Amino acid sequence: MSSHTQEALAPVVERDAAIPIVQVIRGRVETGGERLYRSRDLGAPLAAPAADLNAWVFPRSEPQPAMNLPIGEVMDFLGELGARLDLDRNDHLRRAFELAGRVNVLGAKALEQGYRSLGVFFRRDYLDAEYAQALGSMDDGWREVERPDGSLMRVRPFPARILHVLAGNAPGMAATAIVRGSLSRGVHLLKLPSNDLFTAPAILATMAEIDANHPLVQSFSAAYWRGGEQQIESALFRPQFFDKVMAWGGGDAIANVQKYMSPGLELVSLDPKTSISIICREAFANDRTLMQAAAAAGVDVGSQEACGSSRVQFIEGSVEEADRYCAELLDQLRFQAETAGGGRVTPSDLREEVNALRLMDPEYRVWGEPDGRGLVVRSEEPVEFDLISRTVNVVPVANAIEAAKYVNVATQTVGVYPAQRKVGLRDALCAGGAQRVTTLGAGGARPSFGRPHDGFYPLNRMVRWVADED
Amino acid sequence: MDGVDLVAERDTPLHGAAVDQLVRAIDGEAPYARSQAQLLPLQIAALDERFQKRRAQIKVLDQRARDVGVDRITRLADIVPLLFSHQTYKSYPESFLTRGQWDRMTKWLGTLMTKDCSGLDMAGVEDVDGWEQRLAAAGFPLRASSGTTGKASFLPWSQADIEWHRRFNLAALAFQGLPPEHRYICISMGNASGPHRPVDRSRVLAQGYAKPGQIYNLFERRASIVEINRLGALRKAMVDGTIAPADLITYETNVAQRTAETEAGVQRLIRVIKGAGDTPIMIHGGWAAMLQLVQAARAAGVADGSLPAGSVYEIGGGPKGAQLPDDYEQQVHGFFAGARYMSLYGMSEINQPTACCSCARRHIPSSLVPILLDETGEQVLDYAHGATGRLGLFDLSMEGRWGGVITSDLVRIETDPCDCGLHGLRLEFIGRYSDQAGGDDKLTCAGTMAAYIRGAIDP
Repeated sequence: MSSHTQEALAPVVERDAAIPIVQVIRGRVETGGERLYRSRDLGAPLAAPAADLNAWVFPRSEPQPAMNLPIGEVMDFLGELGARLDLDRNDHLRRAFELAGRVNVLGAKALEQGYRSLGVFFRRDYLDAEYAQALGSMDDGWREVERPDGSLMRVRPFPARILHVLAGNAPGMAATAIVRGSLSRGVHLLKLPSNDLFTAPAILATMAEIDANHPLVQSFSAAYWRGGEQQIESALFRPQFFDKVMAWGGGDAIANVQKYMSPGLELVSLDPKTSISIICREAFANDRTLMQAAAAAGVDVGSQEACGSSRVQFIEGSVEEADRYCAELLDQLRFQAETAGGGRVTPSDLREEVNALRLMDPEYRVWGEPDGRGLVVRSEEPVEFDLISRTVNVVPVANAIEAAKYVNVATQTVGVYPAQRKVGLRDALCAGGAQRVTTLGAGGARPSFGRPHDGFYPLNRMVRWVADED
Repeated sequence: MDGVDLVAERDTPLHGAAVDQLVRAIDGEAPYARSQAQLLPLQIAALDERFQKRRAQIKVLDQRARDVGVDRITRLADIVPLLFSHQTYKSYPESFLTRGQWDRMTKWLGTLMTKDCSGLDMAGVEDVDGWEQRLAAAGFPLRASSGTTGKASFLPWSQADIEWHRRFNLAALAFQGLPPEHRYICISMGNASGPHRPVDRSRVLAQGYAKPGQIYNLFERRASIVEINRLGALRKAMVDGTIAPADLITYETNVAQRTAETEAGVQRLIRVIKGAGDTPIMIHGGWAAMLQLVQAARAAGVADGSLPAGSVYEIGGGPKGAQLPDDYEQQVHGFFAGARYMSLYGMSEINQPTACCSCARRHIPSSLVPILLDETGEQVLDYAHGATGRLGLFDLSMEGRWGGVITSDLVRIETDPCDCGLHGLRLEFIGRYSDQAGGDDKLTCAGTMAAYIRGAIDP
């Protein structure tokens, strides 16, 4: 393309109209709009402070500041932080919430709910569970182990240097990364995603207000560059500066990161995933059970922005039963949309795919409108297009176990109704690639702390296991 | 010009007075003579005539019109939500193809057609080529996208469209100073026949300009859409998890065979060029194929600028995502130095090309209505005094399907009189929105199996 073309197609960002991105570098809050960007999803104009890469990396000559901070003190600090993340009293958080709607497709009420529930990520009982489950015990620092020949060894989950490529589909993602990062006691550069530019800096700024010199505050930086910005990424993604790159999702992002991987720099990838539901024949016992199942399935669909959001739902029953379920599900999706106060507008590609199927009755049937408030497509086998904007594909199967053949390594959560049918399904589902089987409706009920994610414990992968042997 | 007069031939009034009046202006300067101010009321009336007739025939159009609440076209903005994107013509479930559900494919295609193809017997159809040929034999020709990656699109066409396409293209070439004369060696960098639009263009050139027996194609066989089908099946098998490693090796072997066939074809065409003597050559192809020919010809000792006097070359489309060197245009033009370069701007979705006048500006024929849009394709831009935006088009000649399309092209439209003296609309191609580079910065943890596919199968 000629330069003329590039200019014509390049988004024009007016500096004055741009939303300022705040960067927090080891407790120092940075503002100033040196670099202009445009956000991916909603095209909002953005202005980021200068890219001072030297300040973003943590020199290997300096030990990690929180390396020997007792875990009890780490948790105390996180507890105090959690208490300060109150949307009504915290100006940083307030600003993050007010700007979030400009770059994130979640509805206003869903965003508010996301910010109001940040405190739960800092609950002491969840922090304990996360630490003990992921690292095997509550032991702090070096733990002595007797080897088979009677000799002694000390092992330690050693803090690492991590560059996080954050996901931004919900505010909780930033909190999760900061909590796990703190528990690991390593040093962390958080690369902000363009659909949540504000939550991580707000949390880090709150931390700095507690104590700007606290070792944990000194362990975190959050900066923005456009994903794939070669000049920055090729300088940063190096084992000289980081041990690990932690990618919290996004197929393109992971592909981007992979080209920089080399010996000494490990990619910890929480791969992009999709989730499904299985509604067994017990749902058709009576009208109440059908509504119960559809309501639980609607909760698991949610805003349909996350890996845990249900997209394909297998119905153990006839086409007629599936159709009854579809009508009920549509009501539940609309209720969810109402509760969230909006959401992603149905993309035109998806609208066209669904509209084409509308004309393919009886092989396909469609409930709802492409308005982002709920759309249900019933088909004989899963449709091939991406399901988003509260669009659910319902597939009738004679026996629930048949759903397992559609499970693959991209399947994250499988929600099952009723709970007692999980036992008969879980081995087949996990053999196909699924990593999590839940009671329908419980997929997003609690923080992910203390349980495996993507087939591993993320905190366990955020440390380096080192040994001192006799 | 030979060929039937399609408008006069049919019962009158067929489409209403406005459509007939505009579509009839085919030859010479007639399609480019009238100004925007003169044309617009007539074009709006013609759009409404087309809309009223087609919505009764095309289910998808009627559904769309009901969704957006459009009942009449009284201004250009009314047609905007009714423009079809390329997505519309690939909205079939791919399993119809991969499982050979030809009745369902036909039913799907039928929702986009002006004629009723229901009840057509698909018994014995074995693959997508067989399906296409069964439809063509029953009077329902279609055109498939030639893309070797991604999902294929299928556009219903008609015999009348094939004839319109031929007449519009020959008329545009004549307007550019190339009246049909059977005195060329015609070379096409594509297939001898098949349901791809570049093949139609080659056929028109051969019909209008080839010396008897002097037609050469890179592939002297029918274009097959089975290859696209096979690729789709492979991708689906990967997503389903039913793929076996041996299938992948078979696929890579097929790719190697195809590469070898292309190389052999290029060498055969170079022999044709070397043996042309004084007979001028008319050559037509896409950028990637043309570059391959040029590089091979140079390697075979054919000097730059050595084509016979009076030769003509034409290159269609953009690089279409192919990995080409930065200087591919210079490399190609350098080889053809001295030959006449014909530059037409058209696309598979419409019957009519735009032609360049003596000032090298592209003129839009009056039966092709441009609709200028913002980047999202939702807001109409006023181009009464010239404007730049995303191009939508309505081809008033389209018979087999809906004539309204939205493109990914960024263009400038001018309305002031051209230096050549013609008053009609002009168009300048600026770029393609889909060519914009950029990584994914918006991260969510959601993703499908499609993200787990790598290599040649990844579109």
